[in-house]
Amino acid sequence: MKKEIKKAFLDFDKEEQWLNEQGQNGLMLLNYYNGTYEFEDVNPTKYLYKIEIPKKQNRSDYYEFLEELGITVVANYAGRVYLRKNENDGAFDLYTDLDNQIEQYKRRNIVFNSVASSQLGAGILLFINMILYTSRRDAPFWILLVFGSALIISSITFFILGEPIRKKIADLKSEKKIRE
Amino acid sequence: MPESTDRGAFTEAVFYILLSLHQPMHGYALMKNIADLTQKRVSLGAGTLYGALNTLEKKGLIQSFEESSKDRKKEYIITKLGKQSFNKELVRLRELLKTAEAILGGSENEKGN
Repeated sequence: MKKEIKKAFLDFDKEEQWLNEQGQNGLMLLNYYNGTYEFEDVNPTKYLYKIEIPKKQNRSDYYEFLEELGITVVANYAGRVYLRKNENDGAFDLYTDLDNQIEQYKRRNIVFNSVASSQLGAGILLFINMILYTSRRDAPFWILLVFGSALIISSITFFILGEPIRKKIADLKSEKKIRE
Repeated sequence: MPESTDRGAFTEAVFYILLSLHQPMHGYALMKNIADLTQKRVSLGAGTLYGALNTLEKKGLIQSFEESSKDRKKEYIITKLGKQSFNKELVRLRELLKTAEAILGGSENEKGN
């Protein structure tokens, strides 16, 4: 039986956690696009999930390698790849070394930072327009003020949301100073 | 040989990969073999294993080939250069242990404290 769930996540770890909860309930992810998860109910089979931002080079070679290890590449969406493994085939780890873990979190951080900085840039641009081209408190003035403020607030939100990722990177780096 | 980074320690992943690849193996068998050798203490993630295999191949310590024409699974095996590096690492590890045991008085001390 097929099942579609619409859901939006900002936090990769939470998305992964949610997917794994679905997997424990016997839902096998078939596809993901634009906030829509397509599952097939295959209870009692259980699935484990990981979301990765893979390197740009040699992706197909990497995916082939994963398939050989019993990992299915379910969907490729906006730079992220959704991976699935049958729980009966054992634990599902992608990165068991600190260097690779740091790299993964850095790539996630780039996503947050680029969203935050592009919104900040657009917000500032609207404010500049407001100051330069509107002299009275007319409609264009209010439109620029409201949208400019919204963009800047949103960019600050994204920046704050990225904080746990930066904390994670710092923790892993300090761990790396004494362990491999 | 030029002054190189060749003197450093292997990571545990690299150590067990090179040890296992004294016989040819494909990715899945390699992962399973390492888990078995270490009673699952070292279980390598798929991405970590992939990265390590690629790096080792680029550095010429292992080489890959296709097992049979049927399933086109890639197999890996250690090279001569890989064996040399591995043996050097064994010498380094023996020295490490010897030094520690000389100072702490051998393995009985591990139970203490």
